[in-house]
Amino acid sequence: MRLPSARLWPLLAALTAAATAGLVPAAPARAAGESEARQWLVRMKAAASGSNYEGTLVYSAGGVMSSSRVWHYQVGGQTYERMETQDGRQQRIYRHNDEVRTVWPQTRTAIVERRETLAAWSTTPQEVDPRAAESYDLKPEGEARVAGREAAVFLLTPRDTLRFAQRLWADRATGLMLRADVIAPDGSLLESSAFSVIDLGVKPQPDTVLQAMRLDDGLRIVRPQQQRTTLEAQGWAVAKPVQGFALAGCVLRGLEAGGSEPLMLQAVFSDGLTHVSVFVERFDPARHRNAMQAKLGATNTVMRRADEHWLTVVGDVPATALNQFAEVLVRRR
Amino acid sequence: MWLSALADGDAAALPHAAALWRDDADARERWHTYHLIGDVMRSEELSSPPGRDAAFVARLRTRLASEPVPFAPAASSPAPTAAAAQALRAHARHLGWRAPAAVAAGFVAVAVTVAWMRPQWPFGERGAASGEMASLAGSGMRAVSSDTPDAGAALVADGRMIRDARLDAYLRAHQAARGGSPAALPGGGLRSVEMLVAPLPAAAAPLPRPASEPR
Repeated sequence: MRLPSARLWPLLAALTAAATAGLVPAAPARAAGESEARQWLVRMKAAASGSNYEGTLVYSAGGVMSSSRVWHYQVGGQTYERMETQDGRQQRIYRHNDEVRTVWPQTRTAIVERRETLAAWSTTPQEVDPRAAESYDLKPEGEARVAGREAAVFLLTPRDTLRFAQRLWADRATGLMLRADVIAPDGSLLESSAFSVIDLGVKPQPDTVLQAMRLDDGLRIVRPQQQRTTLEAQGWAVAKPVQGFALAGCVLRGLEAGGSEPLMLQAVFSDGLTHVSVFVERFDPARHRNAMQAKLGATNTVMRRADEHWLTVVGDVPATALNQFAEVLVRRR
Repeated sequence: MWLSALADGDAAALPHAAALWRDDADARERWHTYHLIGDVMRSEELSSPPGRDAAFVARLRTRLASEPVPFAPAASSPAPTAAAAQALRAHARHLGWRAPAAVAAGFVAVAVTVAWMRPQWPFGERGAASGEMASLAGSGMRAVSSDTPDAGAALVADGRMIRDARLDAYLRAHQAARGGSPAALPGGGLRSVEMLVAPLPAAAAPLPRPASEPR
């Protein structure tokens, strides 16, 4: 890793030099570094939505690697996205703004749904959720080279044990996130998503996405039911909020694998960087057998019973945090 | 005589030889010398100062004395890890006579592979699900006991494993909550969680039923 370029962070370099000379306390240097990092996060979010790019994203967790090709176009305020798995079973995801179609060509199955963004649920849409700064320490870590491009590296260290640290690489030229690592408390790598190949500023081709989304020929289409709701409307309330996480929204939904099951409540909590889902359904001894915990990469799942309900908590957070989430909701009526 | 009979492998001599060994210091010395000669004849490295063996026996005695008396007919099914074994023992203390059943149940819970993984699809390439389970028992599966006794054993996936359809569905729903967030943001990318649509004829996995008429 090279030293931070003086052109880019003159203030940080000067303050750091002064701090080491003992003339200026280290706190302003850290604060300058944090605000630089926060600006990078803003750039990252803007670049992810606003640029046109295509590339190959490699996801690895626990020794398992899989790659997928990603196309992302932004044309006239509309977002078009296409993702295709390169390994294992074929799966393609097409997205036009909120509408998402997931297709498995080998089994001729497709799921069509409308996914509302988390940002749409919060009352004050922001580019970078300032609440993330409450829960994480932002620290610039210098530079590195990813997918043939120069990138600035940032480390987000959690301020408590309820979340994982993340290291992000942002393209110097555009701010696009090139790599994200989720790191366990002991420093080991839980999972990593990185572009191995990326082309920025490509010519947008939204028709490839739109045509694929209109294609119904021979596909079995599943439309999972979902509707936005509130905790109060469903008779629940937040009893013991988990530190740093706020309720982002609630959805009443069915799981697509069983279309005739009663709808369940999904409450989503976010800390600005990661999110946790709490699924609540009526306890059914036939379907809900053993309480369990499971984990793959950074995603942990906890399933257990709470009186007459069955809770499933899923999130990219430590299992201890998930157990706290299982106590978050309380029945009001 | 009893000692030499025991040294020759005569099991019937054991009680007599053991009593002799306990009571007669000379007998102990003869026993030690006999075995030392045998060891040294086989290899020079096996010769050691006499105090070492005596110290070993003393240590063994104290360790045996501090070993808890098992109250269950031997937790015979070996717990996969020390941590799991400890948790099971702690659990067993509460259960009393139900302890052996709890141990067995714990072991079964660990042996059941419930995990999911990214886009790799094992069935088509590898064949029967049961074969998959058997091969997994050795490969990278680790059981971690949880804090709350009700929560059961946690399973850590290190490789290709069988998928659970319902677990997949929850994961999909969780990922979907990111909504229309683009791939190039933390937490993004194609973490494809596949529905378990098994190609095997006797497959138990449910096919997705359409929620409405396909158009």
